[in-house]
Amino acid sequence: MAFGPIFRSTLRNPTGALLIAIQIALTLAIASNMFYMVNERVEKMSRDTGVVNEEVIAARVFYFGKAVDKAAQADIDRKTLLEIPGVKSVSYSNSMPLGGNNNTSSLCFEQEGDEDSCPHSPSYYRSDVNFHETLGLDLVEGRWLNDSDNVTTDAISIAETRTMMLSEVLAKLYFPEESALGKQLYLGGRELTIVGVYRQLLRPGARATEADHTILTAERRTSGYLAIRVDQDRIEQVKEKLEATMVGLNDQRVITEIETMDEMAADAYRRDKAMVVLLLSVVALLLLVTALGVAGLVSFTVANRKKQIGTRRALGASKRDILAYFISENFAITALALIVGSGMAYALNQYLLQTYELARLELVYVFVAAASLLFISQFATLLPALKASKVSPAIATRTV
Amino acid sequence: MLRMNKISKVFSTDLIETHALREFDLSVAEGEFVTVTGPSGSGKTTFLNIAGLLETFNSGEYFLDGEDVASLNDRQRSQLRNQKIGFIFQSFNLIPDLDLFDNVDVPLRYRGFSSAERKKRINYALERVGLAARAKHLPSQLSGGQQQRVAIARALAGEPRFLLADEPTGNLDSLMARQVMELLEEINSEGTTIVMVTHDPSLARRSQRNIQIIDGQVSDQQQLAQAV
Amino acid sequence: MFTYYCKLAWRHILQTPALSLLIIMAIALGIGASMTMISYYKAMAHNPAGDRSDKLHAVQLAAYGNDMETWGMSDGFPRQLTHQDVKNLREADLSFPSTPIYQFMTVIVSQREGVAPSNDYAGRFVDRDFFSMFDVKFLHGGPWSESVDEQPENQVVISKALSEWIFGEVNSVGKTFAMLDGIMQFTVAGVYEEFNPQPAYYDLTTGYFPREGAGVFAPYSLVEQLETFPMGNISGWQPEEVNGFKDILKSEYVWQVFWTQLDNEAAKAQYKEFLKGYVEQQRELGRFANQNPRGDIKDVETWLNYNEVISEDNRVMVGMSLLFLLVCLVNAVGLLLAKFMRKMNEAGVRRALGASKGQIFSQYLVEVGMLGFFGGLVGLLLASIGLWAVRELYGTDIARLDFSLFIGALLLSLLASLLTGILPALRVCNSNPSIFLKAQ
Repeated sequence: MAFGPIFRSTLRNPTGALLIAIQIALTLAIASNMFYMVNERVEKMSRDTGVVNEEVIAARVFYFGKAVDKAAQADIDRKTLLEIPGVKSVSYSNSMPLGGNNNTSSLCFEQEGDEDSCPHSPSYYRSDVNFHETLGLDLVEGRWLNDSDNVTTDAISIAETRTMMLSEVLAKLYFPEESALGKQLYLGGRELTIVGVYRQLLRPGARATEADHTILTAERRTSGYLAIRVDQDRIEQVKEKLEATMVGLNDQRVITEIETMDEMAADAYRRDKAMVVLLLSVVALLLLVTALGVAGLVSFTVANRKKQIGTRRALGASKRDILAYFISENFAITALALIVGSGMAYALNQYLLQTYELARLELVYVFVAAASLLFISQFATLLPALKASKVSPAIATRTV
Repeated sequence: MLRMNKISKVFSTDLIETHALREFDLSVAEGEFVTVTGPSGSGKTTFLNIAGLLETFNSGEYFLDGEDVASLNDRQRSQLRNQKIGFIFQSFNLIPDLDLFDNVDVPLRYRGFSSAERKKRINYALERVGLAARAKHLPSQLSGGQQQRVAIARALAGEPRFLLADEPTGNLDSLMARQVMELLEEINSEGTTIVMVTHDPSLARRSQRNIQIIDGQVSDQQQLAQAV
Repeated sequence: MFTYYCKLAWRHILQTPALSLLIIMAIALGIGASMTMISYYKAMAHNPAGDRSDKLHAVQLAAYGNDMETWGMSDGFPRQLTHQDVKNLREADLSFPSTPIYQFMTVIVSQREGVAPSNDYAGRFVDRDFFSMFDVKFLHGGPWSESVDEQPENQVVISKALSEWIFGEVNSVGKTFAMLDGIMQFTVAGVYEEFNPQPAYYDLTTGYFPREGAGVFAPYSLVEQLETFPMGNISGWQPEEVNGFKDILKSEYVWQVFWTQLDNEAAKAQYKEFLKGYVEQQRELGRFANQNPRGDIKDVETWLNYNEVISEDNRVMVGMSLLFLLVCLVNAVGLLLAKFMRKMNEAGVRRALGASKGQIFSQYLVEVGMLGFFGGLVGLLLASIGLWAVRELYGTDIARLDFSLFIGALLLSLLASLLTGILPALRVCNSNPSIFLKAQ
């Protein structure tokens, strides 16, 4: 079937076609940007924490009594907890990946660094020496922090710390050409020597960018976050008993926010998840509305052209021809609209880029959105087109 | 009542111009019953649409009841149409989802009568055509002849001075056609001017004057009876 | 005529139920989605300070050294203040109501039987002026006396809910309970109804939309003797030896906020002048050694914007939902055209019977308006479901439909539908009536 006559007939009464086209173009512009935003969030939420998520529980330990020997208590805690079946490792830290209490400082090449010598501001963990084992981190080079690095106790600043470990990403950023081992950097003005590099550990909180810029330092930590590594099948049991066990050992403290890593991730990514759910709901409704709109307008066209269809049938057009007629008409309109819509998608993305800190739209999202729209539009045409193909040729000869 | 001087109407598309009426002259006196005949495409319908103020014309003059309609805007033309003209169509053109009462009500609504006045007029008009008992029926529940009588009631309800009928009996069998024709004659005898387009020579013969239109011009006028 | 048009519109809607329903749903979905996002946005953009908004001012100081160019927020001020500065501002010889604020977490011991101590309670150290400045409504008692701001006493102001949790009764004025280390006793000076403005503009450093209000208010004059660590943001610009609470008090770390009430321009000018002098004086003492040492005051509205209480996500979603509304309306235009095209003949008959173009146009616009009204009602229903979902997703209690949103939604849908209806209604009233009157 030739496209020529279809276009001419459409051009003679363009309102319906124009409305379909506007709707599809707008939908493409919106949907492709939404798909993109959704994907950005999904990627963020599925980032590698560096932690064996399914085996780790964390809780916050908060002392209120003043006359407590916290260091001794931490040793007792560790010993007692390790006796619980399934518990493999116990550690205290100031914060947890995806958790609260974020310590951030600029990391510089020089002591009195200006901006050029301090290119990044990583988060640093102040944990006891078991932290890497409890979280299940991977060593890339050098050594883990040990008792020789263990200096201060629950201090507010890191005044006495001398050594640190960097995440692989951070090490590469500072020393792209050579090994970072043995090098010195200044963290908040304090000179620290790099003794090891680990593969990955996310920051506390849920930052979108530079989330893997982290540092590990060691100290004799006795409160803050308590992290426990447990056999996966015992994790719920341990979690349930944890508060009673800890308060049983010392009632001058409170244990709160007892969560598995998965639960912590859910909390941290709450806003991202909300955004994904909202965006996907709007995209789904958008596609539904567009499909209904196309179906509605095509039925309208079919109703208007009943006589013409009947005449065509009377003149020898088969049912297939009529079906093909409407399908190809819709195809032509949709294809044109998608071309215009791609331009609009790009324009909308430009606007979003300038107004908000969104990344540049990748072409693949426009393709995915365009392909789904073409499918939806053609599918929505099918039903009214089938109805059109059933128009009796006799209608042509009827007067009323 | 109606006077047209050198009315011309041209329909133009990109390619061709069609002259529907060419220097068309016609006068109809108050109280006349005039029939208009002519072959398909001769301009009968265009004449009727212009006479009924549904369409405008390109040149010439048209006086309706002494008023020059060329200078009127849409609102004024609509008002004039509403007050002075009643329409009757071949296909009745009743509004299918309104019952008879509401159908007859339509022109009265645009006239702005009070609700009591409308009710009085509707009942009177329906009684006049013998369908008062069916006021709550829908048009589809009536026969063709009955529908056309409702259309006549609707045209009469506003007490127009001038009735325009476009093949009012074209969709009716001969018995019903005769009844409708008799009703129109009765209305005419009460003083309402009627212009009726028809194909049927026997109907044309019953009027006082027959006008034949060919190629957008009056080609022949026959005086058939004296005006009352 | 309007009632006649309404009657006709209603009849026509009933005649084409499927098409009408589609149009109503298209409008409703668009209104529902956009009202959901607008309501949420509006809740976030709410300024709970009301007519005190331009009187209350947050004080900021560029109190950093090292000859740094900038630190903190984009305008070179940190959001919070050092203890040294708060202490100086508090003791300055000025007559304006003012208060420092910082949050702590505390253990509270209930006196009811079988109820274990809990540390889930937040408290804030404030001065007496806090209660009048931030309009805290008392049920019993009131703020501690003025002298307590100078001569510290273990007095507190607690919420109704906390009073019931500790004592099992609302009026606990004059009673004492154990707090902080679980031993120290504090006397209740006043009980307030509920204080949880959204956003929590009085202390944005601890979250913008907290589910729980501030529980315990304790006199700021107690800070130095109680040595209670803050629960919130602490930031610094230089490495410092800090090993205990006393070190924090002396440090250059910023961790408190300070509010002052300045009722008119003269007061504002006076306060700015005072800050200028204060910065000079501190500079002579060797502090504020940066390139642009200065102080600033920001009123509540400015403070809320400055802290970006409304998130970027929220703005994006409002924009996206409005685009969605646009698509729904384009959709409605198509469906309305389809609906009205079936009525071309009727419109022709009405024209022949004396209706002017304007009257036909009005008739169809009334019908569109009616569809828009129903669309708005259904849209409100969808919006309340949407807002429920938003509250669940974000875990907040804000963003509920109120009367102004109710009216806003109906107006928006009416306006949107009338805009939508113009094209189809024009199509109907402008078509040549005569072609619809012929037999075929």
